Amino acid sequence: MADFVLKLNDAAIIQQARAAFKEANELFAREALAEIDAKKWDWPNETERSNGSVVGSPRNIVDQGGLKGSYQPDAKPDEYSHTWDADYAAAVALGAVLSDGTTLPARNWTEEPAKNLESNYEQLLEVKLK
Amino acid sequence: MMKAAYLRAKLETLLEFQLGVYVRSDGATAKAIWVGEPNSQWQARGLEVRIAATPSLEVKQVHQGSSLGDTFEVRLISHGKSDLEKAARAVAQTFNASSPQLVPQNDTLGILAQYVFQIKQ
Repeated sequence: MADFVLKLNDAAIIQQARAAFKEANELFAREALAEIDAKKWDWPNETERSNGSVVGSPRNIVDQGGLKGSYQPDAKPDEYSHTWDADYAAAVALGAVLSDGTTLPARNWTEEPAKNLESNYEQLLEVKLK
Repeated sequence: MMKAAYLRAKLETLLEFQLGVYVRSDGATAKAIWVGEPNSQWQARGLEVRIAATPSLEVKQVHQGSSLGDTFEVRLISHGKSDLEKAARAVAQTFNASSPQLVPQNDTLGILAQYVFQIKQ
């Protein structure tokens, strides 16, 4: 019979890591939606919005709310996806050249939240493992 | 350090037989590849390539720290008849690029089909 036994089980750590990843993704989503609302995006000219207001630059990315409302999160056991399925979402995020020659600047509302994701996850995990 | 002019020359050679043309206001034509924003009076036909005039800096994780690398945005734009997919494949296979991102064509909104690459030094 052994005098001294040390058993290590990674199940608790993995469970906390998954919980932290879930929370980090939820935080990513909140940050991304806040970016859409933020009046921080450069735009080359003034535009009359659908409510009649005239907006210049910087501005938010909200007109009729189609982009913001098109957000579809999807959570699987080991994977989270964040989808904006408005049919102009990619053109907003990446910028676009239009058939009339206009160039729309890129306004990637997920860029900053994506940069924050790793550090957010680390902080959330650290709290859980204490 | 990679320069935009060098990248332009490489892309022009790579896509030599696929590039469309700019039609200038006087009717003259030139290959549809440009560093920066082309003249708004020019009309592009076929495949157009735009290269960002200035690179963005990307932090690369390397052994014992990080380093900075230049990344150029390259945009392939389809103005009518062009094989955008074939051109995108050629660029992806030739350069150290991130996965190309597609902006789908949307006739209602006037959005042209285009691929955006981030080409790294």
